[in-house]
This record gives sequence, structure tokens and C-alpha cells, in this order.
Amino acid sequence: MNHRVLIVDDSATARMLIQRCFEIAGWQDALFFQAGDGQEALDTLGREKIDLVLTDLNMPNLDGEQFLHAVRKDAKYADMPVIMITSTSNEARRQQLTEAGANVVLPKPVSPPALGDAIRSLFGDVDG
Amino acid sequence: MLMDDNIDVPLMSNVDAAVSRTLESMAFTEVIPLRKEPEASVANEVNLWSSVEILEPIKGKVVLLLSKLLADSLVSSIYGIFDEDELTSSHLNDAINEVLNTLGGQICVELFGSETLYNLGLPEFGMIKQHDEYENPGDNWIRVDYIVEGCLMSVLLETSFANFK
Repeated sequence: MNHRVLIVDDSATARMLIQRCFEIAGWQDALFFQAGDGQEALDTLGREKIDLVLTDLNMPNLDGEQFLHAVRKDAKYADMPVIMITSTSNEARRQQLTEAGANVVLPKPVSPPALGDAIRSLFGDVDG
Repeated sequence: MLMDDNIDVPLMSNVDAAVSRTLESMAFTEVIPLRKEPEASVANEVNLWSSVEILEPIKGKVVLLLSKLLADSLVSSIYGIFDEDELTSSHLNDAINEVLNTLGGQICVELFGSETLYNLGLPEFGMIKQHDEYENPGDNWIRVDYIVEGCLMSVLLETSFANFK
């Protein structure tokens, strides 16, 4: 099965590096979609069937947290896994994001092993 | 002000660790700290800057200074594109800003600890000529120099960082 992954970050470089992490983590056959901010991500979700979203927090327009709130308010996306990337390991902040609906919170910069663990916790030992 | 052995060694080690971790993870390249004044011929090649404001937990700014030659090389490594014709100015701006964004975050982690909440502004990028203060930083800046792929790369920190610890 080819999983369909949406990567949300305002930096094209960051999106490319995250996609590379997915590929190294064994999801080289996944189909990748990209969005530059939360609003673009919501537009993509409206057009495409997405199995997993990985989003940065700090973005212009609609940021990652606002995007997460919008997604969790919509019943269509209630069960869609969302991985959030933050630049802090602060436990209170991670807890806040988890309570807002993030399935996994990963620190920046994302590494293939950390992403691999996150994917396995969500999908089991399945390739992309 | 050049940071040398007489100035805040722990801060310098923090910056060294952040720079090494950032460039090794993003561009797979080694960083060599330079603990003496760089030769003028090398320093004169530096013509690009990227800056990001630190908004929390303290106000400050981190600036990366490097040459176009080094920037091109880092961007090639990051994207895995080694044909110069395929690299656009958009690749360059975005990649160097992302390097600086990651570096700013890593410096905050080093200085304030991984449990501290921090917040960065959006990075900016430009030519040195547009910012004379980066070419000749005053006493409110600390400069830490590195050799990366044979080129000079400098990190400027507003001295508020030095005063924090």
C-alpha cells in the first residue's frame, strides 16, 4: 500500500529534508504532498485523500497549531494521524499539543530514526 | 568583537555544538572552529547574511555570514544537486534560511536547555552590502568563526545571549 503523506512547512528545504527522512525510514514508496502553510494544507486535505500529516508549528498565515485545531474540529479528519514538529522538548508544550490532537510530537530537526519510531507507533511495521 | 579564548568559553562551546550539529545533520559537512582572526583575503569573500530574531525566552538575534561559494556548496549538499545550473536563487535563499532557522533553534537549546520554550522569528536573507553592521559588527555583537569546506563562516550573536548565562 502506498501511504499518502502531507508535509506542511513554509520552507521548501525543510519539506525536502523531511521527505528524505521518510524515505530513509522505509517509506520510499509513499506518495508525498506538500503545503507551505496550514491553509494550503487544509486545501490539500479537501482535494486529496491523505493518510498522515506531518506539520511544522511556526508558519505564516495559518500556523501548525491553528491547522491542528481546524483539522480536529472536522469530523472527516478526526482519526487522521498528525505528527507535529516543535523546536522545544518542553514537556508541558508537548502535552498541550497532544491534548489539542497531535498523535506524535517530534523535536526539530527531524531525524530518520525518530520519524521511523513515530511511524511505527502509528502504523506498525508497515512500509510506506 | 571576535570571540577568543579569553571570552566566555562555555558560550563558545554552546555555539560550536549547535553549529556542528546543524551542518552535520543538514549538509553532512564538518565544521572546524577558527580561534584566530581570519586572513583578510578569506574574510573578504564573505558576502551573504541570513538572520533570525530570537523572540523568547530573551530578545536577541543570530546572524550567519558566509560566501556565495560556501552557500552554493551547502545547498548542493542539502538538496543532493551537484549541477550548478539546477540550483536556483530560490533554493539558495530557502536552504540558507532553513540552516539559520535550525541553527537558531539549536543555539537556544544549547543556551537555555531543551525544556525551555523558545520562539524564533522568520529568517531573512541578503547581501552583506545591505548591512554594514554585519561586516563590521560593534561591541553589541559576538562573532564566532568557523572553517567549513575550506571557506570562512561566521556566526554573530547579539551580546544579550552572553549576558543571559
